[in-house]
Amino acid sequence: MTRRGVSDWIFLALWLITGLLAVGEHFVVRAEERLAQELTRELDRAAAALDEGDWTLALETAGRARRVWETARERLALHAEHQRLEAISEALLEAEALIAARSGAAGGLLVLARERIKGLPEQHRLSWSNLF
Amino acid sequence: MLIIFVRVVILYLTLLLFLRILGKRQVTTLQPYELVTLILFADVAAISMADTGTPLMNGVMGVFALLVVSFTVSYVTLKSARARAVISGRPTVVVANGKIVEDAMLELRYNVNDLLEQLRIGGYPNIQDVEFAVLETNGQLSIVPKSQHRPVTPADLGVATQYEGLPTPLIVDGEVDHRNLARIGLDMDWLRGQIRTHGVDDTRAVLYAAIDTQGRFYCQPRDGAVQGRGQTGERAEA
Repeated sequence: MTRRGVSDWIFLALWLITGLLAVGEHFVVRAEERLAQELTRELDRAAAALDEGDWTLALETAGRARRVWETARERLALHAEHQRLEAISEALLEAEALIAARSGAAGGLLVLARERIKGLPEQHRLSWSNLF
Repeated sequence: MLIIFVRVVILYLTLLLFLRILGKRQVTTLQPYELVTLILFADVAAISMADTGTPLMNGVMGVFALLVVSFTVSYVTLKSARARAVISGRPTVVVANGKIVEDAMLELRYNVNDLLEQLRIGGYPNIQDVEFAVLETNGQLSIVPKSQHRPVTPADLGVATQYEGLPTPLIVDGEVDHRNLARIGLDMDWLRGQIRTHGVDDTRAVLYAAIDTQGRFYCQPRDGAVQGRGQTGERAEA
């Protein structure tokens, strides 16, 4: 590579990396969507169990959802706002604790956690609302 | 605290690497787009350094985005004169044939006091001594004095001068530059012989040694390296 060609190569390399990052971001958002769908299913199942008065199933399902979330959270912390992740963790933990205490307020927290999780992929999508 | 320390180290190394890629001009005379990059670099990095609630990748990505944009702009200005004119502007003649160009001054919103100040800084307190003054795209004023006010050069006096070139450093801070030594066709035996004439046996005891294009060897031993001879910074013909 000649010295004259260095600029051309750096220019190409930078835009190649940018392209790869854009593709990577697409897959990250897809993975977040899949996670959100999985957790939404679990939380809906827990809410349904609550409606039926099956506290044991609700506790088991909410606990499983929280464990799945906590495992995924480590990866998400690399690029998502830590405050948002913490808010979801807190909602899930509180919901689990309220179910364990057989409190009817647990349903509200399950819905809150579900909506926050569903909103996670949205904040990383390249959209006008996110840009401005 | 440790988190902040590690974040600062990571962002510092990232910025340093990116500034090296951007080139030397980034830290000396700045074009407008270069200045913007530097200002933003500091801000983007600082936010990620201090705010541990923000993912570190956000900071790295911000700095990377700046690198890509800045490099692209400088690349485009390198390849296209028209783009260069749009992005960096064009140099403007503010003094022509010893007269202030009023239109150019108005266009630039450059007042006479600023012009006189820059001329004084440039060593020309009297505008009558100036033939041309050009405001460059990086904000510096280039001054071309009238021929009778230009410093006298050997060429004006008809004096012949020899080629000087650049001296080649051979030892810097005790470290021998083997590449330079090989480039000028010399070896370690020659170098050791030279430093011995300056009272030093070990190259590590030399602070700086160089040879110029006339073959004159310069050697400055470290303080205290030469016992009872007191010779520093001496030249010897190679």
